[in-house]
Amino acid sequence: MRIADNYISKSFLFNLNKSKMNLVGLQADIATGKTIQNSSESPLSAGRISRLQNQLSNIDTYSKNIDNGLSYLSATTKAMEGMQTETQSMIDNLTQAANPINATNLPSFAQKLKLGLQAIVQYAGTEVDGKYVFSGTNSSSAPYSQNAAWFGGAADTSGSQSIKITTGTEQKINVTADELFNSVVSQTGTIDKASAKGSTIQNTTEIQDAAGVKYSAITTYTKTGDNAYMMQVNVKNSDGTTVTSKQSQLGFDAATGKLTSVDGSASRRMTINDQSTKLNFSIDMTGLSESTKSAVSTKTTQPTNMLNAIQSIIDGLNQGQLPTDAQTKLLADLNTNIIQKMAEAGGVQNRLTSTSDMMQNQQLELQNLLSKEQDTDIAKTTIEMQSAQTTADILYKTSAMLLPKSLIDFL
Amino acid sequence: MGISNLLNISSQGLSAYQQALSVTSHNIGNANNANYSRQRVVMSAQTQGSTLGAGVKMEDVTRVKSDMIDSQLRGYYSQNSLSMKQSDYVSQVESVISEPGDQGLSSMINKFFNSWSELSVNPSSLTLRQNVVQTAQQMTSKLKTIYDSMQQMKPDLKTESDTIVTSMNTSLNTIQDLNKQIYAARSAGNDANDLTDKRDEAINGLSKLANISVTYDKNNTASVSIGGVTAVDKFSAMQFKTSIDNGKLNIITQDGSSSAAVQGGELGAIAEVYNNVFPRLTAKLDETAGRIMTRVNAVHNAGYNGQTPPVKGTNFFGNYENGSLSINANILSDARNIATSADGSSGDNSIALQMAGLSTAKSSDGSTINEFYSGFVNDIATTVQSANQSIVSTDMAVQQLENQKSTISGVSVDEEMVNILKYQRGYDASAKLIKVANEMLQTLLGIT
Repeated sequence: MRIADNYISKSFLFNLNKSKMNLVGLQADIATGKTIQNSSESPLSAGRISRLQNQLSNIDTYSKNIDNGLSYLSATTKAMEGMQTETQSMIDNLTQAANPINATNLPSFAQKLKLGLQAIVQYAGTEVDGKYVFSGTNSSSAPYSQNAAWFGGAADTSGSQSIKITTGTEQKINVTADELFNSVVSQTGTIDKASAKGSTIQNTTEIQDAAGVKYSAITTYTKTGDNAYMMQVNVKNSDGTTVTSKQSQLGFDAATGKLTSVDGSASRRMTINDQSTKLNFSIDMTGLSESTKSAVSTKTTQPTNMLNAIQSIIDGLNQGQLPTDAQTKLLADLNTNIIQKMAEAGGVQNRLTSTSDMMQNQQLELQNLLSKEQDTDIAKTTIEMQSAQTTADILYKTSAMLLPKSLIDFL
Repeated sequence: MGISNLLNISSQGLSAYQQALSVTSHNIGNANNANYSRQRVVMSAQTQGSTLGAGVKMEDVTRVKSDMIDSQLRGYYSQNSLSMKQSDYVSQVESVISEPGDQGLSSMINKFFNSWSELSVNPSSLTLRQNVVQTAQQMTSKLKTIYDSMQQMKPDLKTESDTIVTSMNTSLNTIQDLNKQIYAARSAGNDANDLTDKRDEAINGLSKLANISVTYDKNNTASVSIGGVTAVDKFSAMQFKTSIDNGKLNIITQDGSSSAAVQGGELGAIAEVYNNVFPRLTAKLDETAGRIMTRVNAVHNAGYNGQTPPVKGTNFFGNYENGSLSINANILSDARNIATSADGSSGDNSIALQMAGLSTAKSSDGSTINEFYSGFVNDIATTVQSANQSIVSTDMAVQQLENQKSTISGVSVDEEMVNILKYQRGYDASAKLIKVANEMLQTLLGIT
């Protein structure tokens, strides 16, 4: 093969260029600490890096959410501990008050219970980061007013506060005053949208007044038009006499079947608040919808408003009356309920803590994967660079020896 | 045969070797001229009608070259230029998208949805609401930057294509002129080796600008076509210009009668990027923005904001046009206008949670917003990668072919030095022959 002079110089420049490009690439890897500078270097790796970075960013957010959730739950648990202590103290006081020796001291026990009730209301008004923790989704208002003689006019304290703790997982972190003290009858199920106008469906729930007297709350849905119903609640005593009643107009979405309005508003509740009969409970229709069959079930949080029940005991003691067995049981049930809710909150705290631990492990794994995918192995790259530098040096040296030579040098 | 014939033979030898030395020195002089094809002296024996020799004569001076290698080289020049130019332009967009990294749109989309997740923890927090606005602004600003990077490059592409077409027209005129000169030289019986080299240089240069096809006739005049349109036909040359029709960049003849299907060289790259790559990328970016806007607005619209009383039915984003995804002005002026609640209560975070969930929600094509956007990133990455790989492979091919060309057409100074020695010795021998003939004549004259 003939070797022309151009051949040697072109080959040298081509190889030198390749060698320099290799050196520049290795230098960039070392300088930036990353093996991928642009997505075009490896579209597959770039996509993977992007996904890993986003997952790490998500974990950061979830971790923040969990930290916030834990502090929220911590405040909630502390408040419930306080409530439980006060409730237990009330039960102890009532036990002492029941002793005939203390018959003359009933107003003093009433005073103690009054202070306990005020403390419970105060705990119920616990705030975290400007939010009332027991107010449900109505978190800008305290659930109860201090020194109230009747708690029936309290704000709606329903609604869950959920946080996102992993992709696709939300965790409820709040305990509501509804769950602890209020009497809420949840109506869950469907009403047959094909039913004839005027047709009715009915269900009955047992409730109590503040003194522990039992009543039947009979709920009747009467179809008044397309996607429209009238809901009537009749509260009857043991004689079957209606002591109070109330009705509301319900509207459902024709397409989705969801309940859209109660008496024209977006609220899903009807509240019976009758101080004369000492009845205070709410009917919650959030779980109600219109479908192809009629099947409505009910579930009650408390049989009566517990704070009104305590107030009723206090009023009785002030009038020299010892609480009835039903009232004492209500207080004991309240105590059990608070302990139950504390246990549930503790369970959620444990879940959040273990999720946080899992998240930390996941974070380490992802960081490890990300590092493998994009970080420069400095030792390896330095050796590669040294080797490339040596190759370039040899190229320079051999070319410097070869390029200027021709037959002229020897003639 | 008389003694005087010896003098004639010597004289022809001197002349032939002198010319050969001249060609050799021409070769040495052009040893470093990359576009030069070495020339070779063809000598032949002079005949005198009988079997007796009559000396040497210089038959021809030929160019040593391979037409096949030249043709292959032009094809690779064209591909190489196309890939380099395409890589140049799409790489600019690639650097703007900043992927993978914190400054990329993918990360910003993720941060936007994560800010909703954080807001869901405390929907009444004005700081967290401001954070949602801020992440939305970062996201929309990045979106606009990427969009503009492509749109702003389009006038540059047009300007550069105009410059290249001007350069192409000049090359076509040069080829046409050289065709004429070569024809004239050959008609006069002269060789046109150096003119042919110049024409080859012009044709090779042209092949870097567009995909060309070259044919030669028996008189060695070249005809060149660009993208199927005859550009040089022996002694006439066509002129081209660029035009934009229906948003597409076209290369047409000056009179507008023909349109060249330019698919190679720098012009081919510009046309591909202008007509196909950028519109395809822009459509994907528009679709990403459209998905963000539609989904976010659908959820936001169903929620109540944080005002007193709460208001329902507002959009988070205004509209999307030319890369600008506008945020509702009321939200920008007051973050309390962000909807977080489904029922209007201050602590309800269900809308914020739904919004956070959009980051993993799949659309009808089975992809999340970020997955769809990663298709856009991947498109850019693979376009640049494929262009870069093509640069490497065509560089190698060009290098190999140029080396092959060099082994055939390149000047070897060593070889030329040997030729000098050879021709010098021939010249010396011819001169010596004159001396011998002279001595013979002297001998004869001495007898008398």
